[in-house]
Amino acid sequence: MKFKFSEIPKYLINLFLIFWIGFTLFMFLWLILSSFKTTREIYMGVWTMPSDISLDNYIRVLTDFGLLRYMLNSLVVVTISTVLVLALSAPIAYVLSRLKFPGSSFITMGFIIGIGIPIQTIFIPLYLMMSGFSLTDSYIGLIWLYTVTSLPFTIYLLMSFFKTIPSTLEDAARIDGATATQSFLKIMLPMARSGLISAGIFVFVMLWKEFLLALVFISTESYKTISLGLYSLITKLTYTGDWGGLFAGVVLVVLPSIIFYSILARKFIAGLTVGIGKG
Amino acid sequence: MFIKNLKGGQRMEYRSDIFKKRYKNFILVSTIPVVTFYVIFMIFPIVQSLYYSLFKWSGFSAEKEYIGLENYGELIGDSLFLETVVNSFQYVVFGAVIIIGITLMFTYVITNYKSRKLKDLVQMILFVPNTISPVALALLWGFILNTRWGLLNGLLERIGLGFLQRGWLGNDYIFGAALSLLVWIHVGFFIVMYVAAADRIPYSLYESAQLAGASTWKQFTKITVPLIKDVIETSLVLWTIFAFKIFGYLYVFGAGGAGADAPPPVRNISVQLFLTAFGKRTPINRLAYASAMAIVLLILVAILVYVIRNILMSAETIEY
Repeated sequence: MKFKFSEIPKYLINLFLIFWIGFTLFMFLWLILSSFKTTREIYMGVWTMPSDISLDNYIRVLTDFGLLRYMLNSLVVVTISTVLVLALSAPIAYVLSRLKFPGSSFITMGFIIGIGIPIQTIFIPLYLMMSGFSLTDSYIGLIWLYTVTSLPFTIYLLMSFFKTIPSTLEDAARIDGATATQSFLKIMLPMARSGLISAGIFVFVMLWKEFLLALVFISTESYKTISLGLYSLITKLTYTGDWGGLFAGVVLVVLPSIIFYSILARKFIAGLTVGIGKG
Repeated sequence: MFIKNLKGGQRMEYRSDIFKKRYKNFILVSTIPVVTFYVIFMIFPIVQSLYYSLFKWSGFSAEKEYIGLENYGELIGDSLFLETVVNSFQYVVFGAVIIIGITLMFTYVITNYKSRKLKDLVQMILFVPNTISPVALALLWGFILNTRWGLLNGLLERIGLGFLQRGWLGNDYIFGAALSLLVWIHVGFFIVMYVAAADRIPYSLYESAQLAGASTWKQFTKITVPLIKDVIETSLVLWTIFAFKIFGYLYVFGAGGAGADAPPPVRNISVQLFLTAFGKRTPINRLAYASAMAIVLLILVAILVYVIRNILMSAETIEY
């Protein structure tokens, strides 16, 4: 490449971008390296290498401090919620994206506004409502809240996906006398498969990292999800000054997310960018 | 692949009788339960928050005392709450300038990459923080900025800039430290939107500019930016909403290692609202008073979004 004076901004910004990415990668490297250190070694500074690669920190947080339990809780709660959200969202998203009926625009608008409702503005009434049903501090309660609060965004996402799929096949099926249920199940769902998977991955990741609802609604140790569990580790481990354990805990939360994401990144980004720039 | 070249599905009119007969049940079954859940669990609670905010009530006792707008009056004089309102606006303004600025710069260089793979890889790495638990990220950021053994001070020492070392988590710097965490995360979020939008601009638009010898920077500012203006606007609206409702990062980051409540300088309204309602270290449990904060939060967000959409961004979008 030839150096051009007019391209100086490009070189400078590229340098900044390289620095940014370098720092990000270096940070994760440091995090992993530190997780093998003892607390003493951490205190000795950034440039001290761990004296031996021992898994003590990891074993301690996974078993003694129950991180494994938190992970399993999250897996159960988030998987069930994701399936429920998709099952509830797909039919209504189909109807709203394909049919015009009295109230359809109003309902669509309602869901789009719902995407912007901060959970903070509704969690107090929700808390009182859920304790009325004895559903605070329970899996079912949390699964239900995750499902309901994910609805607006998921419906919006699926509508955008469905709109990119041509309706010619459905038109043909309609002429042949197919019912709405048939067109939805036999034509739309198979054609929208990749969209549904993208939306599912998106919802899963968002709920996996959810913290606020778990913090408000769960207090029993054995029900805690991964974010909440890690939060409770902070208190336990800093009380005993166990920084090595805390580093290991963070790695155990960060690494699975990164691995999961790097395998499915393409699908994930597709979920995020559907509907952008259609002019 | 052929699907992409066809026109998207059209909406059908709910007109003919056959149509009505055939679709009615499906519409009812798919719509009514979901809309009902949505109204009961997301819309109705807003009304309830408004109602609770008019009482003097802990939330756990049986009797509520109606006090009208007194809670709102108290909010105006509550210096701690006002500080968190100011903080929230600071997150909105500084965050918007820094995040959108950096995201635009990165969009410029990333869209100029020739290789598709490199483009995807860079975006993927930038996006990573968005997939990770806020608790873990806030902890990690706290580790990095730790005065005694943190990565940043260690690096500064090593490269001979030791005089720049600071107690980053002290009151003087902690707001900036929290903001830097939010910037690091959200640049990765918006870059994906910007690049996706820029990728859909027809290449032919750039060709004449290239023939005329325009630099890539000029092409970016004169062609790309005006044509992704709607996405920039969306990102501004989204950031405004985020800045007010972001909770986990600030709640955990500010608390530091000790697991105390987040210190006032990093709190936004959301954090203050949570602490007032359900704060665990120093239980306040004023649910009605916190409800008033919730209503203020909602109103502020609504006003800001309205202002951005209708006043700042009033110019028409360009068709291409």
